[in-house]
Amino acid sequence: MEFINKQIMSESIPTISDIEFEMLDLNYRKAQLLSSSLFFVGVLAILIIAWQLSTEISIPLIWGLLILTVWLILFGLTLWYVWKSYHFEGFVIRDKDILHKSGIFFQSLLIIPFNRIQHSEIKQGPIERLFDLGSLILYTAGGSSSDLAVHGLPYYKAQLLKEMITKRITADDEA
Amino acid sequence: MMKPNIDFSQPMRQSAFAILMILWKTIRMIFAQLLPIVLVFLFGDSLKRPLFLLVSLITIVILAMIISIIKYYKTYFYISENELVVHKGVFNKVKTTIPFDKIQSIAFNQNVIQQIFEVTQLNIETAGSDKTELVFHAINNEKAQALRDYIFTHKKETPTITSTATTIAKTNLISSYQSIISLDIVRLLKVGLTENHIKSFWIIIIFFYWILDNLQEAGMDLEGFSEEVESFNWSTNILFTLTIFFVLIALIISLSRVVFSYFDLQFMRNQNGFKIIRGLFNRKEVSVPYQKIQIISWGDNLLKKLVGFKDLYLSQASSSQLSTKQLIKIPGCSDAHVREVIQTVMGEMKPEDIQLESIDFKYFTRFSIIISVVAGILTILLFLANKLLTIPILWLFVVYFMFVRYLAYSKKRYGYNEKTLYIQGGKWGHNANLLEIYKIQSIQIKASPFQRRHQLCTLKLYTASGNVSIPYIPLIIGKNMIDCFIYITETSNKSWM
Repeated sequence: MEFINKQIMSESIPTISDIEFEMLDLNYRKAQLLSSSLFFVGVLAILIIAWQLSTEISIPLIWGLLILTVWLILFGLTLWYVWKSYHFEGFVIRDKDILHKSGIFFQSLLIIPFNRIQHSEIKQGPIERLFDLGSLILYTAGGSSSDLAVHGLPYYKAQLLKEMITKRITADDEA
Repeated sequence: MMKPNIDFSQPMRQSAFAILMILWKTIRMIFAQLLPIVLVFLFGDSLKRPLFLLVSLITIVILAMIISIIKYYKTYFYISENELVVHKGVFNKVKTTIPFDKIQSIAFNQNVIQQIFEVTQLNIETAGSDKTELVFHAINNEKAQALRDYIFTHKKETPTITSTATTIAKTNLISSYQSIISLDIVRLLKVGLTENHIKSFWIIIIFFYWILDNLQEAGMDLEGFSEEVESFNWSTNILFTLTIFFVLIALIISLSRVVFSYFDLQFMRNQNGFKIIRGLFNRKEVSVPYQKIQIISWGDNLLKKLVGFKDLYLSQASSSQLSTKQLIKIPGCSDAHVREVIQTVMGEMKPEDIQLESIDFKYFTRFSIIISVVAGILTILLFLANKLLTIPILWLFVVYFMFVRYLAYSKKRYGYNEKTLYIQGGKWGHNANLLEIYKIQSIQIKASPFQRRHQLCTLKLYTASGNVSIPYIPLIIGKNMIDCFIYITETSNKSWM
């Protein structure tokens, strides 16, 4: 099927087909691996404590082993997913907009023009602080569904980007 | 029509009726605060001392009255230099200044009593990340109208003091609303009868379920009852009667819902925006500036198609999250009405002129394959569990869902020109979305592994109020559309909300 693309503008318009994405910081992968490991170790700890405390009902060893196997499989899958997804996440800043891609299986690409950004902020969790990382979050009007979050930026870079975007927003407002 | 010329630069109070409203609110507040104490009194031994109870009640009411009257006299407002100034507070004096430009919307609200006294409650919503709202409990109808007209006339102007003469002229111009639709009672009833009754039907079912649940909790013997029900002779006659009964109730519910909300609906326009007044007991009035409208949608169902009615929706940008409050519905429109609204907001354009494309047929086949596989597995499980009777019912559902998906596929169309994006859809009925491309504020392109294998993608376009999506279109076309739309949005200098 040939889609008729009516002539909209004479000059050639920039296209998203041939852009190269910037990878996230490698430390981000480490931070992600650490945080998911912490989560799974925590779950295991709770399971063991619950097992030790429940003296009234004796759980057969076979059940314990089964749960352990499930835990191991889920843990392994999560680590694999985190490891892999690093290669599928990335962002690009163009002159007038920002693009962010993510997802291994269900891939998605989100584009926000700078002249539609309401405000921006940098967030830093405890693990991100450990690796000196920050997340840049860009807010648009109405509803949180179209907000864009770039995780895993080096903190100084996140600040730089935020400053740059703020400048662009105000420049657009004045124009 | 000459409007009374009211000088808003002089401080003025609300209508004296506001005292009653404030009193009512104060008493309610006091009782909410004192509820534990009140309960103790009621269930304690105070009933033996009715005099004490009476005296404390009267004290509370008198106190509330004094507070309300002081509150009323201490609340006043005036306009100075394109700002609305409101003074409030008895002990803590608060002066609020709202520049006209920050005012998002002014809504009128009237309940029955307010209608009798010819006063209006005014809700003034302002912009900003924290949504603030200013409420005047009761202002004379005329004064409220004049105030709103005044604010909207002076909103976009430079803060120079205009002479009174031009102000009056402009006010008159602003107030001259042109009616688009006024729903008479016949049309209203038609709208009510053609509503989606299945929705009402579910409400009834949930309601009955809720009652049963509560009865059970209250300790009623429903076990015995359900046994009786099972042993009861369910002839087709009784089932038929019951069905008719439920359908009738569903009909009555949707009819009354429509009559309560949309009684005497007035839909008008002037050069700045639309105005909608509606409601039976609670008269509501909303203004929608054209610039704030992000998406115009309209649609029908099978019944509405028969009478040629469409529901029109205007989704309006707002500072807070999208809720039903910002999605304004105007039922009972004809095609001509829809066209008029489109041309008012977007200028001379006909959606029919936009060339439309279908989406990929895999939108239907992919879904059908997945649902069949799932149903196949379920069939084997049911077969093993020896529940043979359930299997045909399961496949009946599968066929139904596949058919609905096919309907959705066959009605989905999309197209665009240099200004507008037009998307059609629907299952049993039709719906259509029209939005100006420069209003788009972000675009998402998604692809599942299956879609990637077939060079397909799903496009989702977000505006400041709601989003639209186009599923299963060729990847090249999706990327092409993104490039175009982003270009249009980024080169547009127009204010989009």
